[in-house]
Amino acid sequence: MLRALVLPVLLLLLWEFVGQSGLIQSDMMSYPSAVAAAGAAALLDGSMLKATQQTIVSALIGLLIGGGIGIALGAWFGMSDAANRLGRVSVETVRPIPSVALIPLAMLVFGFGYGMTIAVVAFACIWPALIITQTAVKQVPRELLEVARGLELGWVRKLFTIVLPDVVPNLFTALRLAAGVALIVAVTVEITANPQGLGYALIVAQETLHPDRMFAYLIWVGLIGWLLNFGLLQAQRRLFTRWDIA
Amino acid sequence: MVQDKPMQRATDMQSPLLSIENVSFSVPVAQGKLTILQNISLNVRQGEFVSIIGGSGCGKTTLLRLIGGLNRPTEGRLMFDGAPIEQPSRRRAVVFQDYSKALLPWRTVTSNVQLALDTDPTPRDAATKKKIIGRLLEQVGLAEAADRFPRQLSGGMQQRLQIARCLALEPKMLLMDEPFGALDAMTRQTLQDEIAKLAKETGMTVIFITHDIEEAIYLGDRVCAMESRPGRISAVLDIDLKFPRDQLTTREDEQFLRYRHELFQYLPKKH
Repeated sequence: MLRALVLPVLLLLLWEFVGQSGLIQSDMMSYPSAVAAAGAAALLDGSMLKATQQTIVSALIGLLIGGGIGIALGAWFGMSDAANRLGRVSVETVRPIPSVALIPLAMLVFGFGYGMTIAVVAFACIWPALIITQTAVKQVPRELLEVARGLELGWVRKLFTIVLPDVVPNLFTALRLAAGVALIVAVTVEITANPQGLGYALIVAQETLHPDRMFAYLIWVGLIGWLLNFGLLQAQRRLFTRWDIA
Repeated sequence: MVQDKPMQRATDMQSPLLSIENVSFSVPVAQGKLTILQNISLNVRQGEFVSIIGGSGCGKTTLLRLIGGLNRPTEGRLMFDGAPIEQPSRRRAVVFQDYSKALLPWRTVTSNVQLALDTDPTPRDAATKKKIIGRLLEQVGLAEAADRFPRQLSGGMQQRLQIARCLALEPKMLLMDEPFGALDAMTRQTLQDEIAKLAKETGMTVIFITHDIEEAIYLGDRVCAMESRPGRISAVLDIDLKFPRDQLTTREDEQFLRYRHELFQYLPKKH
């Protein structure tokens, strides 16, 4: 563990030294101590927390909406061949649109603010959720579905007592993937168009020639992404190891 | 079309609980169709234990699925308790061979049995359900494991759990598809005696699929032997061995060996 830290620490020290010495002249050059100071300042004056809140709220609401739509459609397509045939062409037509290409449209519809980011994030989150859910529902053991038939369950009951519980571990994987997508897309929308959140803070720092603040935000965004994934992984382990031991 | 409602209750002891009338089942393949079952006819009385044996691929599982209502016959019809079988029913519970896939791994033993009660149209209060579950788990010897999850149980215990869940439906008929095929010999014998006892106690009608001649004779009031390609019934044998049967003495009984001899000729010599 300690030995693994040697290289990063050395690199940081090298960065600090090169930055302080002025060996490289650049408007975008900074060094660790300056980045730390800028980060602390942004944290203390509240601007970083406000931007964080804006980004996370947009990403989470977008994730919930898009993930919900994706899971619902995926479950429907997975359970019914007719629905799958009906929806496949539409899905395959819309899915390849890069989500960020929708930014201008979202801006027209929602204007600046949360709505715009949420809409684009939601669009992007539908697809991983849909595909993973549909695949998982298709893989529910035939025996379980026949147990449901033998119990004379209607489709709502079948969905909630048999199908969804069986695919919950996969839904969690879908959620984890979609959460990563949500953060990426939210920051992208903010960098390119929406004047709020961490993405906007990043681009403002760059355009006003504050590389130290830019790096501080960059590290902060990375940290949030890592924490998000770590938290969801931990939750997944806790929730599903109990009965999943073979 | 005929409705899936009992038009006339089969209370008469003479009329069978299940009657299979000239049933054939085929599936479409590239060159026309493949006949899996051909002209099967069989009557099963209330309370009877019927074993069906046959080599692999003879269609015995398909026959069970038709009785269960999981598949529909291409020709002929199946009547259960006076009404045609058109879909699965809680009155005909199926015990699947692959118990590991038929149990809900996210529910405890208790909760797996409870599923059968919670989905019952007749409402029961929580205390009654708890009592029923307790009695069923006692009956199949799982009382100690009530709070464990299926994957924490041995194969034999998992199959017991599946049986308990089926019993919770209070079915008129229990359909068992090679239920002990995946278990070791010791466990299999124990479970054979348990299911024989349960069937006698509850008066339940049982259709028991197996590829083991001795198991079929040991458990059955009657044994049907099936031949393959296309699947058909080649012999039906009444088993006249006294109850309760015993793993040692029954299997050494001369009559038992004669049955075994007779049925052996109907099965494929090479597997």
